[in-house]
Amino acid sequence: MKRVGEQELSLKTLLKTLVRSPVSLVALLILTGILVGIGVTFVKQIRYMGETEAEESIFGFSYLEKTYEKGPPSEEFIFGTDDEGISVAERTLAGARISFIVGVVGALVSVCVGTLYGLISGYAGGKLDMIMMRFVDVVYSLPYMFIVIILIALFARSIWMLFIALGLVYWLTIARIVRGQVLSIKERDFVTAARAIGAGHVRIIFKHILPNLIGIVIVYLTLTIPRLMLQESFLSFLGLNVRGQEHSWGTILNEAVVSSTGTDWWMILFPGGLMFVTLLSLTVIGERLKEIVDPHGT
Amino acid sequence: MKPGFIARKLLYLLITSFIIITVSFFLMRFSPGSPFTSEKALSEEALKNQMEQYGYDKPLCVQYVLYLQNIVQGNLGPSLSYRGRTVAGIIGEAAPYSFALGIIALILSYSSGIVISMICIIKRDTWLDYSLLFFALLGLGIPGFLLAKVALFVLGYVLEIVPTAGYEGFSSLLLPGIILSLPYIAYITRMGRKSFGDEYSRDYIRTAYAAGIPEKRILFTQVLKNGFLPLLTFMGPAAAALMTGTVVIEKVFALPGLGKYFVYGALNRDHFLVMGVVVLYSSMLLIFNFVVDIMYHVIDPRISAESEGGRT
Repeated sequence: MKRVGEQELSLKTLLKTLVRSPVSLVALLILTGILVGIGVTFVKQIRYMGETEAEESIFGFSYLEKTYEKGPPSEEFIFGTDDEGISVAERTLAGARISFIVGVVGALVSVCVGTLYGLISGYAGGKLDMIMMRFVDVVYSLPYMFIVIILIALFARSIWMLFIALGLVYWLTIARIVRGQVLSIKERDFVTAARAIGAGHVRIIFKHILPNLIGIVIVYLTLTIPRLMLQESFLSFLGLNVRGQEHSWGTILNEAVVSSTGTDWWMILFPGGLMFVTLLSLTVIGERLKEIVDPHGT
Repeated sequence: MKPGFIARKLLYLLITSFIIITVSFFLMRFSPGSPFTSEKALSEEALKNQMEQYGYDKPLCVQYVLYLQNIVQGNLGPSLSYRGRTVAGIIGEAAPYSFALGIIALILSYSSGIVISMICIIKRDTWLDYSLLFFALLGLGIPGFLLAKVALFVLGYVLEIVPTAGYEGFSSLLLPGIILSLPYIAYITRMGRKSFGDEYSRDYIRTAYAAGIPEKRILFTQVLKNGFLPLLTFMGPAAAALMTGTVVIEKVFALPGLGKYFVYGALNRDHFLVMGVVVLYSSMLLIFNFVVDIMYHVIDPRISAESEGGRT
C-alpha cells in the first residue's frame, strides 16, 4: 500500500482509496443503499403530506400505512408487520433518519469541539496544554453513561439535548488525537516559515495547521458516527428516548426485544440486521481511512 | 518510586472528587422540575412539610455544605423516590451485583483481548489472524442488548443451560459479563495486535531469538511487558465504560443491580440517589485510575513527573 503524503491528502484521494479496496467498496455501496432507502421514505412522507395536507415533523410517521394485523414476512411485507400492522421494513427506514441525524450531527458537534480543544491545547503547549490534557484525562474516566442519562432524564428529553449530551462525551478522543498531531505539525518547517514572515497565531492555526488535520478529522468523524448511533439505541432501550422519536432504531429494537418470546423473530431480524450492517459499514470505512491517513497509529 | 509522586497523585484525586461532587450537586439542583411535584395533588402544607423533612427549605449553599458534611461521614442522604430507604442502603444492596458484573467484564476483556492478540502475532498474516481480526470488527458493531437477547433466547430458552432471568448465583453473571465485554475484547485485540506487533518487530526481539531464548519466553516476558503500556492507558476509559455499561445489560437479564434504580431515580428527580450513584462511581473510577497510574510507573519508570498531564 502506498502511503499518501499529508500534502496530497484530499477528499478525492481518500475516496479513490476507498473505492479501490473491495471491502470498503461494499461498505460504501451498502451505506449508499440505505441512504437511498431513507430518501425514498422521505419522498413518500412528503407526498402523503401533500395529499392529506397534514403537517408533521420529519420524525413523524403517520404516513406509514397501518393494516392492524401483525404478521410474519409475506409477499406484501417482505420483513413482516409489527403490532399495529406497520411494515417493519418501512418503519425501520423511517427510524434510520433519526439514527443518522443523531449520529452525524452528534459526531459533527464532538469533532468540532474536540478539534478546537486539541488545536488550542497542542498549539499553546506548556502549562496550558498540561492543564487542558489533565482535564481530558479526568473527564475520560468519569461514568459518562450516567452523565448522559442525567442530562437527558433531568433536563430535557429533546433531540437537541441528545446532541449536546452525546457530543460532550465523544469529543475527548478527537481532542487527544488532534493535540498529538498539532504537536508535531507545529514544529514543521512551513509553520516556522509562516511565523518568520510574520503570520499571527490565528492565521497559522487556521491557514497552516488546520488544513493538515482534515484527514484525521474525517477519520474520526466516520468512526464516531456508529458509536453515537449505538449510544442512542442504548438510551432508547433504557426508555430514555426523545419525544417524537418513537421510531428510532433503539426504540424499535427495544419494543421487539421486550415483547419477543422468540415467536415474532422478524421484528428483530430486519431492524437489528440493518443497524448491524450500518454500524459495521461505517466502522470498516473509518478503519480503512485511518490506515491511509494515519498508518502508524496515534 | 518517589513518595512525592504518589502524594501528588493523591492530591489530584481528592481535588477531582471534590470538583465532581460540587458540579453534580449544582447540576442536579438547577435542573428543571422538583422531586416533589410528581406527587399527586399535594396540599401546600404537605409540600412544605416534605421540603422541610429533606432539608430543601434551607438556602442552597447551606444544603451544599450539609451534603458535603454528610458525604464525609459516609451518609449519602435519603432516597426521594423510594420512600423510607436511604441511598446508602439501596447502593449497598444493589451495587455488589453491578460491580461484580463490571469487574468480570473488565477481566474478560483484558485476558481474552491479550490472548487473542498474541495468537494474531504468532500467526501473523495467516487466515487465523485475519479471521480473528474480522470477528473483532464484528464485535464493534453489534448493540449489546440485541446480542444479549439473542444469546439469552438460544442459551436460556432453547438449550436451557443458563438461567433466563434474575440472579441465581455467580453463574447468572457469566453470560452478561461475556456479552458486555465483547466490544472491548474486540477493541483490545485490535489495540494489542498493533502494540505487541510493533514490539515484536524490534531489533532486540530478533537478538533474543538469535540468542536461542525460547519463543514462549520472548512473547510472555519481553513482548507482553513492553507492549502493554498502550493497553494500560486504555484501562481507565475501559473501566468507566464497562462499569456503567452494566445499566443496559442488567435490564436485559433482569439482574437486581444499580441500573434500574439509577434510571428510575433520574426520571423521578431523586437528587440524592442520582448523586450518590454518580459520586460512588466517579470516586471508584478515580481510585482505579490512580492505581493504573502507579502501575504505569512501575512498568516503565521513565514515565514519572515529566509526563503529568499528557502521556498521549
